[in-house]
Amino acid sequence: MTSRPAAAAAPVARRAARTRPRSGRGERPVWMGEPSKLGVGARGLVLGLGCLAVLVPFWAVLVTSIASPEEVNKAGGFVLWSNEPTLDAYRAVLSGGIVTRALLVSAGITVVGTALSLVATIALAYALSRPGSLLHKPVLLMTLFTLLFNPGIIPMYLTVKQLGLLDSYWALILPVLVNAFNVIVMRAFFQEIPRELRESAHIDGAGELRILLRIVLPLSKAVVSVIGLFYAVAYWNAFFSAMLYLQSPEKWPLQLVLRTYVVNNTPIGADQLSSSLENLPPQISVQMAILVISVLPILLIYPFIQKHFAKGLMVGAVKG
Amino acid sequence: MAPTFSRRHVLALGAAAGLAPLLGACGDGGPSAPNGSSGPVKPPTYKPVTVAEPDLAAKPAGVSPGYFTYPSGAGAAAQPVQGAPVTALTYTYDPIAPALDANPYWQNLNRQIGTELKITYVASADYKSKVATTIAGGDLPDIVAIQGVFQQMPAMLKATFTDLTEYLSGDAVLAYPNLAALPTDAWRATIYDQRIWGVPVPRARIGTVLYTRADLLAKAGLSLQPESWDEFKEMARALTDERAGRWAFGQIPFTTILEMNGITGNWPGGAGVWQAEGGVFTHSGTTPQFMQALADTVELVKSGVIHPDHAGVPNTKRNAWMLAGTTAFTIGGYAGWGKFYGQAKDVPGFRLTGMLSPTRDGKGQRVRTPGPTLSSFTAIAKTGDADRIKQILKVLDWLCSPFGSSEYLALRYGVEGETFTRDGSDPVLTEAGRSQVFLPVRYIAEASPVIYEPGNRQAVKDQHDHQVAGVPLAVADPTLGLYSETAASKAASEQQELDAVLLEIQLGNKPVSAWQPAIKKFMDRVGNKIKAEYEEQAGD
Amino acid sequence: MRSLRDRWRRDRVLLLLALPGVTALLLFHYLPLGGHIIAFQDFQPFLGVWHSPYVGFDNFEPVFTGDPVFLNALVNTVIITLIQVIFVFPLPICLALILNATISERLKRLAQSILYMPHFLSWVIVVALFQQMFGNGGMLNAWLRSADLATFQIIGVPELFKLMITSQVIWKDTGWSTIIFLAALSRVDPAQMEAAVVDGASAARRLWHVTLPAIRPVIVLLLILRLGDSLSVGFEQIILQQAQVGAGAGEVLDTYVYNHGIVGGDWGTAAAVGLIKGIVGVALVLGANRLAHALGEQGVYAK
Repeated sequence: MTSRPAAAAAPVARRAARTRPRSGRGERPVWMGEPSKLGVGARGLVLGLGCLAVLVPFWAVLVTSIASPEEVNKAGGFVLWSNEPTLDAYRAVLSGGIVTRALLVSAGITVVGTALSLVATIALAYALSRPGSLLHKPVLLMTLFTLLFNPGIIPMYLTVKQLGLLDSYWALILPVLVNAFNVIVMRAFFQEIPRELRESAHIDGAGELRILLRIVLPLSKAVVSVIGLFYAVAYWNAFFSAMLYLQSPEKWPLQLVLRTYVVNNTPIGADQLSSSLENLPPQISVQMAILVISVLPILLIYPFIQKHFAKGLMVGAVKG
Repeated sequence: MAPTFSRRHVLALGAAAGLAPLLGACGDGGPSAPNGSSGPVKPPTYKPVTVAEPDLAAKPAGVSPGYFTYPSGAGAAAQPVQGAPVTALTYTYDPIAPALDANPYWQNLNRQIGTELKITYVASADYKSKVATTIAGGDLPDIVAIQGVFQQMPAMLKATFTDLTEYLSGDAVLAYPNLAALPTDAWRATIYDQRIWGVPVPRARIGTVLYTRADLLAKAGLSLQPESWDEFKEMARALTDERAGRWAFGQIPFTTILEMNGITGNWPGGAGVWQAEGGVFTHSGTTPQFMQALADTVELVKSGVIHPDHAGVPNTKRNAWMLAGTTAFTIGGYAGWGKFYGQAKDVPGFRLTGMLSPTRDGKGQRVRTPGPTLSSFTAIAKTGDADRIKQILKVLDWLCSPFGSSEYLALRYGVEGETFTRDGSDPVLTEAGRSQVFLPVRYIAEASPVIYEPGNRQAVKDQHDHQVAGVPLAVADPTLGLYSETAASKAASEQQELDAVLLEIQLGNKPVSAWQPAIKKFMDRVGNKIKAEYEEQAGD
Repeated sequence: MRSLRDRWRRDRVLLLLALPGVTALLLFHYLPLGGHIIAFQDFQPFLGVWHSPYVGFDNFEPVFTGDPVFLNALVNTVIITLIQVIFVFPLPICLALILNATISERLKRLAQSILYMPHFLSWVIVVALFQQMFGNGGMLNAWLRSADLATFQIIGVPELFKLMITSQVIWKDTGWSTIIFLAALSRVDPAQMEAAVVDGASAARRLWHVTLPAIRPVIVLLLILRLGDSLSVGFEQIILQQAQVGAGAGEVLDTYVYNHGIVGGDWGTAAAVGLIKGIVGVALVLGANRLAHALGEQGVYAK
């Protein structure tokens, strides 16, 4: 019962993937042409300088998070080199087990939220990628306008409360389930898929759902992974909704927990009377340790998503 | 008229009682509320509780007692409060604490109080949004910390919270001995429309401190207390060496300059800027002394003694500059004193003192801007159940147990051997304990502050010295206990514009003369209305 | 035109697919949007929407009366938006093209993984790093000073403020914004490219005639959406640094709302400005979309 174009597209896609250079050995595809020396040099310079401009500050963040209090005090801020690295700042943040627990909460919300958001977004974007269908324009405009009007925090709170979502993790997912920007971008990519593919499948008797799953999605891995990353990062970084909707701090996700270390601008335990007897890690080291802890998971996941960015080349192959 | 404080009542210790109450006298039980603000309602009777004699006395009035070590032989525990669990909403300046099931400190506290505490809390920066949405949602926990002044405060309190007047006014408070030990001036800020709406979380009256690296000044051979503006400027120049990357200040010491000109007030924000004499209220921004202070500020900034990046950096950065010796001063709340020692472990010779503002010519009476009397107050959600109200007040009373009591140990340190150990008589939190005590019970209710820096006698003495010298100079805020609707609502936006002009003048983007039209606009739009509202209430 | 019944039969699966997303938008965007009624109220949380008194257009007063403080914020916002649309918007496209032209896959991924990292730093950290590096007392100036060289001043100069925040935005988000264009570039048809190479088209010509047309719809789409957001410029970034230069150079619409609405608990004013921003956004998006159509582009939606 497999429809013809769908069946045809899959092997082509596989072939296309095979012919792509996968390693860093730099097999140059024919279409890239002969690179000019000047071009390569200029590109290298831009990328090199850009990377340097990123790496130096990140280095400072990392070193500051492990620098000794003495080094931090001497520098009066960020440290570029540490002779006596210490993990005290990490220990201070991770003690008590709250951060570890919050990490799991955040991971759960991110995974479940991203999956649900992708499903809803793909479905809506696909429905909207068919001009002329019933209610197409009203739904599209309705989606678009949500980008431009921001409901205030009190009405949002009342809505979440009315729906009985207070103190539930669903309150962190459902209100942001669909982001209009992501829908519209995804829709634009769906619309680029040649109409003929869809139409011939339709003639073969494939339903909309089948066309979406067998033709559109396999050709849209790049945009799906990009939008998925957008959602994942948004879920991962969200803290304000958690602050408003979750009552018990033990349910808090990572970013909200970490925020209490950063926004309050007091070193850990500053208000505790016994503080002067203890060796507290400097405030800035703690902040940097927090930064490292909160960014690391995303940095680790990125390469796995990244490899999908370049997919979708089969379109041309099919058309050609 | 002399350019200094002739229009003000500077009530040094022993000075005859004038129109304004001596701020420091908050707890002396003397004649109260001469400004008439509390009119018919009687503030709770003041009756101090002392478990252990301090090493440094709480005198003159308003100064916190000092302790070199934790008093041994603490008093017996009070009766537990029986009853249903109490839910609370509050804020914190600390990270969050482990949940109840993983928090022996909290479990112990619940056991000792006899009533289970269920606490919801957020970072203080987010607290306003949290309270607004919670109130709008209409489902309040039993008790809520009220921080700052809301629009339509009296109506909001009346609609949402319980009037506690009959339980706390006058001698009624004596049923809760630890609440009766809270200073009267802190209670005054919980009174709206002549009713008492909550239990205050009191703060030391000394307020904002010009923190001074005493070791750096000593090394430069400078006095720790300049007496005049000239001496102050000289000191600043001596501490500045741009080539070596050293400056005297990490921010503009504007409050100091104001006080040197005989006026008090906190800028930006404009808290405590109203002066009163004979029932007439004056905004200090409209005085010639303020113009003089602006000119002085510009002079100081131009002389290059302030860190070139001083504008727009967070205070943590300024504190770091001071710890690094990049600057010799930083300005901050009194509560931060102890934390600097915690951060300066590796700074050799580190010693911190507080500097008072000099007078312009080195003569005459100094003045000082006092701090807020409370951090917040805790209100009880609207209920008519008198037994429940009494139970909750007993819980709050328990949370206000004084320094030296066994309850205080349970509140601040938890369980001996588990969350804290002893160094001599001083309790020391264990690593596990340190994160558990982050539970912000102290932002629900706590006793009046004491000075206690275990193992650091010098720090206790320096703090106490600064309070003894500074508290009597504090000039009463005549608006304490008064409520102006205009100040609570419309003024916030106008104050922002005023602060914006002040900043541009301080940065040198605008001339000093830009102040006159700005303050005139402020007075026309809201200032004169606030003045009238205050004067009307004060006249009652 | 088919009958409604036929269209329903034909498109019902599509409508079903749209249902979850549409429901979420209706529940969590349109339902609370009714809350914008408080733009016309003296809203008090304890009174709620039902009992807060109506005040007509009072909350819009600064907008209608042309309060100079408000106008200053508006002008700053528009200037910053213009600077950012001109200088910030094209950069990720250029970077994506550069990355795309990089042959070594390993190098490309490495560069990409590094360049997108700053996106994850909060503005607090970015600003702190910037001050430490380029501040008047910062690392570079300290070094220049110790070497007896002339120092420079970026921070605290009102004239440079807009450029300073723009360069920070470039540093923070160029790499991140690249990924959407990289996804678009993955659709460039290799067959067309090969044909162009065979035809002897130069690299520049291939860029102009093959690559850019392929990603143009996405560029136009993102540009239109960016325009809809014209009246919002980096709130957190600017409020953190406003005190360096004062409100004259540093106040934008969002900080104005914050300073005049949120700080004082003035919910009505905040809602009023939000409403105006939304209306302006709608006008800009519809206008830009119409312009795109006139230029033969798809835009956000078809005609």
